[in-house]
Amino acid sequence: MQFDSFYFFLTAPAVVLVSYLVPGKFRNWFFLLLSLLFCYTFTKTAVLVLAGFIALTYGFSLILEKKKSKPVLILAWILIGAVLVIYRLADPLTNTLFHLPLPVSLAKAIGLSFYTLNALSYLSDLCGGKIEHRLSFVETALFLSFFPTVTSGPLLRAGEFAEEMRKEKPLSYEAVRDGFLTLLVGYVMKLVIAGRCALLVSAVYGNEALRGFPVVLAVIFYSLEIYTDFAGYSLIAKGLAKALGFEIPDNFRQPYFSSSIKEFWRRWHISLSSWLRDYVYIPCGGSHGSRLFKYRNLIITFLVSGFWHGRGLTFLVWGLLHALFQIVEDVIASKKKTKPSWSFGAAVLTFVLVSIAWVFFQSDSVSGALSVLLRCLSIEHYGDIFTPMISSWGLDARNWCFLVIGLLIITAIDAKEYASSSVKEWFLSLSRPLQLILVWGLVLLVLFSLNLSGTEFIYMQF
Amino acid sequence: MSKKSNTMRELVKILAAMPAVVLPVVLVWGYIAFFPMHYFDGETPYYFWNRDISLTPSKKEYSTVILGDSAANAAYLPEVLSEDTINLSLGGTTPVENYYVLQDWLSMHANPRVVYLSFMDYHLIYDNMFYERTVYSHRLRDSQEREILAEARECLDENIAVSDAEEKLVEYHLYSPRLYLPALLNAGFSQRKSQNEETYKAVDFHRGAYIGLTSQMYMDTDPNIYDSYPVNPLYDRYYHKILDLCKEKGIQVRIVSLPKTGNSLLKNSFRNSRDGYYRGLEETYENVTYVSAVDTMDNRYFLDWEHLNIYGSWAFSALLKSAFPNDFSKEPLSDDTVIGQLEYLKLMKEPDLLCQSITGKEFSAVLISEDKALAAKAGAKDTGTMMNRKHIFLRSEVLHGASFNENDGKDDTIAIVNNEDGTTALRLKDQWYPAAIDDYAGATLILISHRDNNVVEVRNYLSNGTGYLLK
Repeated sequence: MQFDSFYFFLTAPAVVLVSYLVPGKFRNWFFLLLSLLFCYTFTKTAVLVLAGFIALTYGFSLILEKKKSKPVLILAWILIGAVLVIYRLADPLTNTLFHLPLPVSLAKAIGLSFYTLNALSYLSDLCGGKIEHRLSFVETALFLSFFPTVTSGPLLRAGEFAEEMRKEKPLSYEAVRDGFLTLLVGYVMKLVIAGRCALLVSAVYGNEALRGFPVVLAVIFYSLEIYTDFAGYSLIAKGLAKALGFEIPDNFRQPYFSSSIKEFWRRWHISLSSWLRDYVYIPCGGSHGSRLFKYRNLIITFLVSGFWHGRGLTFLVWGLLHALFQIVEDVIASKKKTKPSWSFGAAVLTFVLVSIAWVFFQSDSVSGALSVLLRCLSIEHYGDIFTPMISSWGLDARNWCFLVIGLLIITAIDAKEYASSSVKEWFLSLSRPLQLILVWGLVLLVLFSLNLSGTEFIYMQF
Repeated sequence: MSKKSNTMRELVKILAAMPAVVLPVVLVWGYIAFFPMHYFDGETPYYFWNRDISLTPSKKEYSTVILGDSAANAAYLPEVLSEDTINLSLGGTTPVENYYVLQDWLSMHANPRVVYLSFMDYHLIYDNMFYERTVYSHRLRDSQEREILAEARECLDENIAVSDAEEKLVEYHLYSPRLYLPALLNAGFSQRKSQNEETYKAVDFHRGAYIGLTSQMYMDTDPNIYDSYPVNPLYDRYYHKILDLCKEKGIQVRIVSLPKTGNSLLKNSFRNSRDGYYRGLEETYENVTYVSAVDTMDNRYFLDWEHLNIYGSWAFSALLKSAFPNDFSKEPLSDDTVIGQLEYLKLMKEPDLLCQSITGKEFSAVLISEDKALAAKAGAKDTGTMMNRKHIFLRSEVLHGASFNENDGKDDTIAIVNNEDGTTALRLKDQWYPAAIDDYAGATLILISHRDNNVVEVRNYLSNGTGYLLK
């Protein structure tokens, strides 16, 4: 069940309200049951693989609680990591790994790449003493399968989530309202913007005859699509969790306002970036040692990130590009004496670099990505924006209208948040009728974009 | 304050806020669910008409019922066939839906004498539009759709028995905005309601004919190749269900293979396979006749690669009527039928196409007039005889036509005679119909040569109150 499906819209309000009627001591069981049901709506395999992981993680946690043994942790990493590696390397169409058939179709194991990382971080924290007490069975199961986050994150930290699971959750109008508003903004991002960007991107990329400006526009719109799709999903997950009484971390903080790639990674997919920092970059040595050593660690970290995102060279190139961008930034910054401050030019340059890297991320092959970039360079086609060809870019006038409105809203929200002022507080300071009008506007925008729903969230495939 | 009362207070606050927040959703959803005619696309009203006419008892009895898909809808013109023919075919459907259409019809109406059954071949082989058209338009009942789903699962039909079939059905039944918004958005502020109501009335008026009512012509010349005819198991099952039902009710069935475009290339493997399938049905059911008289027709008789246009529909219907005269009653045509025919003729810019296809003669003469009095005098007396002897193929109160070879012309099959007083009379065979006209009308006589497909003569006449004057 996708978060933009008809059934989700029908059932979510009831689930939220019913969850508060469940007695506190059974609430985690209730959420676990919901989470398994949620996975079951995708495939039975999803539940089976998840159940296997729950058992494995719980088993290791029992051992690690008694003895903080590094070899045991390494074994856990090898076993759990191996599944992730197999999942990544296996051919999803034939369900084979190097032509060898797999017993379970891991392609159907929804959210596997997310809950494996959750499991690894939990066991590492337990072994490293960051978590004093292991999670109970139901807590372990819920931590790995929590339905708002199970398919596409954000990644959770066991210590923080344990507190959420254990705290009292009285029904609160404020929590439900905040959850709803977060959810609504998430839907605007996903349905109003990402859905329409996808139409343009697929129409332009799919039409080899288009060159120059339309392709540049498609590259830009893919950057917007992946952001609004994934950040939208994260907000929906966060809003839903909030309404259920759980606080989960932010996953995005206005990444396209970043003035450097380094800053971009502090704002993009924060839960993964921090996971990679804590469990790959720092264990490799982090920033300690020589500059070359640090750069090596950076490259390793981003290659791991690329590998985590998908099989194929394009993801590795994408990761490598981000590492190289940061190395170049670091070299330049080390020669400057003043600390770089935010500038529009730097933000634009960062966006351009990130967008170029997304071309590799999105393409099926490196040559395909290079071909897209070459098509961007056809300067003679830059006047095409003024020709009727615009109609072949996948969006009609109505969709352009919706897209522009959606982008203006999200840009305004992001700009306000980037300037460290809270949009929520601003909204709550408005009069009730104005609040209602704004909410209705957003609800109608989403409602009239529902026909674009049903497409998978991009990050569900990772 | 206790936990319980806190919870209750918060719950009341949430429940109180919810209606205000979801109001736009409720309004839009309600509009979608309760006012489909306001926004549905132009093809949907004929699904509604089909549902209404099938499930509502009527005083009139129909002895001939047409079932099939959009190609059947385009091909059969009830007004040309007979006064008691009705076309219940539905676009995008297969034998699956048509079984229930027939079932519905029989539950409310007297059994027809004959059922004509026609499908474009690809509707028996490839994807159908069960969800996109049938379920979308709410033509069938929930129980019927679930029965189809169960049958589809048994037949492992991947088009209907999809993994989320149940969810899809519910979503359609509840008019999920996700599914109906495209139509709503496309409708915008345009007056689809009045258009749809007009369409509904038009379909009702033409007794179900809808798709082929256009003179648009298909121009493509690239060959359409037909090389195999593998009937989908689910459709085969429902074909048998239809035939079983007809057998049980004592209804004669004619399975008619519809003509294909002139650029179709029908390989022997296709013909053998198709004919073999239907011959098999013919052998199994004694009430079934398989008809495949016309494999292809010129592209000018089609509006696209699968649907006949108005020329083709009329020609096809006329051919069918002459091939099976006993299937169609000789009941005099009603005013509505006559007006219906006139509407068809008005669509035709090149009536020679129609004449040529039907008669195979060298010349055709067509008289078109809106004057019922003239028409009545022009020979409503002896329809059958005239049709047989003089190849008059179109007879109504408003249309007269004759086709003849050069030598036939000598016997004055059809003639315009200028009277001494300046008025004009029509002559058909040996009878004179002096133009004593009751009310104003005009008439057009078109003489067509089929040797070179040219209109040889067009004469327009205007009534002056006492007779016709050459314009």
